[in-house]
Amino acid sequence: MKLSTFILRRLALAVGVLLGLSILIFVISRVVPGDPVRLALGARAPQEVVDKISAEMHLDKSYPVQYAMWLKGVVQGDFGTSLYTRRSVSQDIRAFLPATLELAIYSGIIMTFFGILLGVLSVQKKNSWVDNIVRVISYLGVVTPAFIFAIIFVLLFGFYLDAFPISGRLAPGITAPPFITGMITIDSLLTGNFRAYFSALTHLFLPALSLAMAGLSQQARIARSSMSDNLQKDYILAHRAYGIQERKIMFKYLLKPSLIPTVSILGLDFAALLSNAFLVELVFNWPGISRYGVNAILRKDLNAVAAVVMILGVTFVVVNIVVDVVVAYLDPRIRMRRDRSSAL
Amino acid sequence: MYRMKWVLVSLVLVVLIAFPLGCGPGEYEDDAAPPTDETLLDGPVYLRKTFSWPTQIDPAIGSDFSSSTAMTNLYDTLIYPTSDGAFEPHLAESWDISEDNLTYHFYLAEGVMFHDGTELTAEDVVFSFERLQAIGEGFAYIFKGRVSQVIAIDDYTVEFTLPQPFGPFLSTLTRLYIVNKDLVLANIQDGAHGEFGDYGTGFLNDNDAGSGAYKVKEFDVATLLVMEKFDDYFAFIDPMAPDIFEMIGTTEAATVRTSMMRRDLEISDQWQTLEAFQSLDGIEGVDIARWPDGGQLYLMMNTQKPPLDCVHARRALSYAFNYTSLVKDIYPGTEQARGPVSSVLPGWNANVFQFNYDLDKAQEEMALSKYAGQWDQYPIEYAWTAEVADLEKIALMTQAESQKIGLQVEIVSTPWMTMIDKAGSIETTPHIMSIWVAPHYGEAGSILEAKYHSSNSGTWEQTEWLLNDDIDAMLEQAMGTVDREERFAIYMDIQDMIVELAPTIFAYDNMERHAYQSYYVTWPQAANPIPVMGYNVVARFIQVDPVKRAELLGN
Repeated sequence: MKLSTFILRRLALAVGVLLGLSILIFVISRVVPGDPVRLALGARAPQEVVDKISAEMHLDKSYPVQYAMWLKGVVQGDFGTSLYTRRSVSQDIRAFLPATLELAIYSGIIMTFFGILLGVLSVQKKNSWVDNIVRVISYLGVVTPAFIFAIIFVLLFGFYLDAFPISGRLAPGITAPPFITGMITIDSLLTGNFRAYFSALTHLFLPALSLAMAGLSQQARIARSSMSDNLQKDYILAHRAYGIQERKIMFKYLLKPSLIPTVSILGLDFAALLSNAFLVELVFNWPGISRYGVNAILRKDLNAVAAVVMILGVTFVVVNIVVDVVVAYLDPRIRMRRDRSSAL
Repeated sequence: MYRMKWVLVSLVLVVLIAFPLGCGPGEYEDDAAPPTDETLLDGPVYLRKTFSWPTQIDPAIGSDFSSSTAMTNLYDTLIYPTSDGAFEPHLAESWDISEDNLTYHFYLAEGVMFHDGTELTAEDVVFSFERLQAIGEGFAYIFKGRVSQVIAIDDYTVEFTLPQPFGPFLSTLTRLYIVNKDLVLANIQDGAHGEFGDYGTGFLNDNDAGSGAYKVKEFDVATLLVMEKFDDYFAFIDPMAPDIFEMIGTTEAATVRTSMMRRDLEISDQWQTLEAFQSLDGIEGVDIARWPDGGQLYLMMNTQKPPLDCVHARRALSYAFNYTSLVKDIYPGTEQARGPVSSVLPGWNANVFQFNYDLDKAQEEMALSKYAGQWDQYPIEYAWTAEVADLEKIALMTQAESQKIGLQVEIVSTPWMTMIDKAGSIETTPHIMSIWVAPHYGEAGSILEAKYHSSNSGTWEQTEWLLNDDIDAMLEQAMGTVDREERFAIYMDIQDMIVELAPTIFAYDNMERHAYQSYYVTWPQAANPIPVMGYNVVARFIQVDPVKRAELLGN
């Protein structure tokens, strides 16, 4: 099968998945008890005001009608108004999603680079004290929730070492760059504002590291395991017999095929970063979509809940498609299997 | 070539990730050098405080604590409350009231400027009131049905006409924040209010149109409100008041504690746990400010649901409640409430009967009840708010104490959304619900009306379903009494009646607590708090000493 056909097929399936997801979250959010309008307006708001806003949000209509109207709005890019922020959900998504994306990207970089590095190190020094330390770190990283790391880093790096800021995205007094992508590091580089760039990086470091720890540990373990398995393969023995340098064998012939399981998990890890970021965003007062989504759930902010879930759903779908493509690139056997099946 | 590629990739990643290690957090600028006394004294003086979020800065929308605080700093009102529950002139230099108590004239100070440089006039007052009523949210309910007309007599005279006398009217004006009519109208968008469109709600969601001592510098609706001092403010600003007031939307304990230790936070929020406050109190130069905020924790009993439809059963529970353990162990630093009104609210009855923990008296009451001997057939459902862990301790204590007198209490953890839903009807309201209620303006009538007038039944503020015609009549009489002393006398009679009926267990007067940097912050309102929500964190009165802050950082 050609790559383009493969992608188109996956996208078509994705539409079905997202439609089902939208119905599910729509129903769940409306079935949960509680009047979100009354909660937002307070106990003393007159009933006519509650009724007015409920009508504006179409909450007085039947569920199928509400869903149809919501879907129509989504197709036009209108997710409705948030009871939490009192502005359009589209505006909120535009404001908060880049912050979480930025956090997830840097977490992903840390997770991937250091995870694989630790895995390689562990294999190179297999069964040595280095390997043992890396394995202990990996276990701790996997079992410890991200927010625990966040709190530890706040105290360690924020107070005792006073090395990094612990709140917000920029230092006071530094003007944010104009909104291009919404990611301050990228926007500041694009506009040449290096003060903002470095300030944003320092503010990103601790939350990104906190979020990356679990994935980093998992990557290290998987990379180690995968490389250990492939180390026993005949082609590695053949390379050694040819006299090829061990370093070259490790990084050229062993690492690439060993990355396949790593990359497969990486995709899911990256998508999970977006949804797991809530407590980290809370600790570091990071204005991201994860925190926005959880606050929306607690307040039964229906429009915001639906929008956030759909955004996360789209992210998972897109990331999985990308991962499949990357894995196919890494493993020629997959490409060959596809070509063979399309030829038949 | 291959090796070079990996070297380059690694170098790029190291630059992207590890470079910040060399940068450090900086102070107000990302300066890698450690701060010196001189650099710490440069730049604007900050006052930073954490809050529970979200914050609404539109005076016709916001009504919670953080919103009230923001609005009090960004906007002005006609009158200003004082710590003894009275009020003094503010935008209105003086006022007079007609003989029949139906017409009020307010005479505005001249030369009061909005943040955009235009003058505040009577038209802005009229517009602000009409806007608040048209939108109908926020504090609009306070004035609903109480004011029939507001007009501008001239540029500096506003006339309010009331349909009937309303005693607390002047107190309620602390909730009418004056907006810049011209600025709002210049920024209206499509909406449901005819020629007024959305009445500027879109614009005022992120911007201010006020005349207050501070104006919006930056507003991230999810996390942060930054306000800067308005140099042309018409009233007093302390010379050492901060240049910038930051309201930070987090209550995360680790973040608050670390920020306080680093002197990056001047005042904490009031939602920290007891243990967190004890820890904050241990930081050098930090103290805990505490004062009653006018609210109370109420255990509201559904007086329509057996067995609590019997006054003796309710009195039995009131005697069986362990008030001592509550204020000593669960909420140390608080005081047992005396009646339905907090002791700091003007109009509180200091002599109202107070229940004390007495199981013998509880048993006596139970013997008088029509349900005597049948208690096992009437289990009592006690709902506590799931999001507030400390309320479970009170629920468990109540359950244990009730068991001693033969009452079966089932405690149910209930999400807040469900609590609001359940409060909507007699049938769905549990026997007992434990909820904090705070006054909306600074006198006893605010609480009494919210909690015991029948028109407010079915809200989370009133789940007793008392539906008592006598109390309703007395409340209406009080509300119609303009003379303060006479009105307060009626309030006191109402409190006596309510305690006699025992529809509520009056647990404790809520204490508002904040950790603050007492070494370099002087906070006069903490020593003399005003019993109106949002009026105790007014930046123009708070002194921040950068020299002393630098001393602490130098140490």
